[in-house]
Amino acid sequence: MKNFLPYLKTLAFFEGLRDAEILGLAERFPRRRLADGEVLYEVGDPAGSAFVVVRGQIEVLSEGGQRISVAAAGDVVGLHELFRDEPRNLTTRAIGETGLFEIDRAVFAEACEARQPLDVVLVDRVAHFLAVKLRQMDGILEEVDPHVHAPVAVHAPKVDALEFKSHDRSADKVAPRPVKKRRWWQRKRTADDELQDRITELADKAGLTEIDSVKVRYGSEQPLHNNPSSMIRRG
Amino acid sequence: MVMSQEVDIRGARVFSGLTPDDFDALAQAGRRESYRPGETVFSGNLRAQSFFVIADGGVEVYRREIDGSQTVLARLGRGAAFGEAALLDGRPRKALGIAKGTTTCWVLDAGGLARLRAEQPVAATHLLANLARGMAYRLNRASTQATRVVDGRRTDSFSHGSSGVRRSLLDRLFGR
Repeated sequence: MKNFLPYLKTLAFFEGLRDAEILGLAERFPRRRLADGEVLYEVGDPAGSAFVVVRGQIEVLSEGGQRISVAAAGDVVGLHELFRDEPRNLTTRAIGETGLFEIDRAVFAEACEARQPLDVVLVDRVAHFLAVKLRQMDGILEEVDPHVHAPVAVHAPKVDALEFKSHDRSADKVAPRPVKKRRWWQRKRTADDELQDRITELADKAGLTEIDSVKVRYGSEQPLHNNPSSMIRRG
Repeated sequence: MVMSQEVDIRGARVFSGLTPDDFDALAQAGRRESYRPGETVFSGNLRAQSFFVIADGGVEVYRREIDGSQTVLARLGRGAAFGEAALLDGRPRKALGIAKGTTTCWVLDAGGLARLRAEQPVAATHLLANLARGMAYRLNRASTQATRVVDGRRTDSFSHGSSGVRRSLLDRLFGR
């Protein structure tokens, strides 16, 4: 697993963690591999695990079969279902060959009891990702329907008592999002990076070495530390 | 937990299931803050990475509109907890919180959480698990609404926006 550390460090799920913590978590997660088009879970399945997308992509489908989104490497699917007992209300399916870490529901429940040193790390990452997604949802609800405001409190004793007032819709203007420029090696992994991974994969199949595969990508040798994902070998 | 200056919020729902040892650890990690009537409790970067539990009094949460007016989003009373997403993701707040009457809160900021994680990992895990459970509940509700929109089923509270807008927004929600 140590060979994968540079790559794992590029994934958002492991952002900010120490090397030992990343390795500890990665070794603890069962690994799943899906072929292109293979269903991870579907609507009606019993509530179960969440999954960290390590490689490839997972498309998220609604109950009606509409594609809602695509989760790229570093993202997590099924996160909020770690806590609920109802059957799944989404279907997820692999796009291309996909590798996943599984956050098992029962294992996570045990982690919440904090019996092992790494438990706090796992629970912290899950809480952190929930916070990020919740903040995104707050913004989305406001943009989709300015008359609706996401509740700001989780543990208000009387949630029903929260007031949600409408306001003059004409006053709503979505401010342009600031564009944060990053150099290419500073970027978070995106769907575009998956294309580069595909090139590496083909290079592997063709029997090229790691350095060769970097050349294939960029035309000349690049320092490996600038692009840790290039060090990942397939298989 | 009897905090310094007699702040007692052990009955708050966010602390359900915590042990006496956990409360002792939380008492060390957090602090008591009091606000005068009308005083700003949080705003933008003010206490941006802080989590609050109201021990006494109340907080009104507003959204600032473009025209300068303010819309009430929520009125929170004793035992209510808020700010967990800000505590964990560290982004500035868009809402504004104003104390209604003399208000006392237990406050945990990012530094306190980091200390708690390092020195009292068991208490930190129990608290984080409770925060995560609450956020998962809210996220699940919102996700259900969002998927209904995609399938063309109108809901009372999530029924506007063109399909293109919905799609791009939902891409952001589900982690594109």
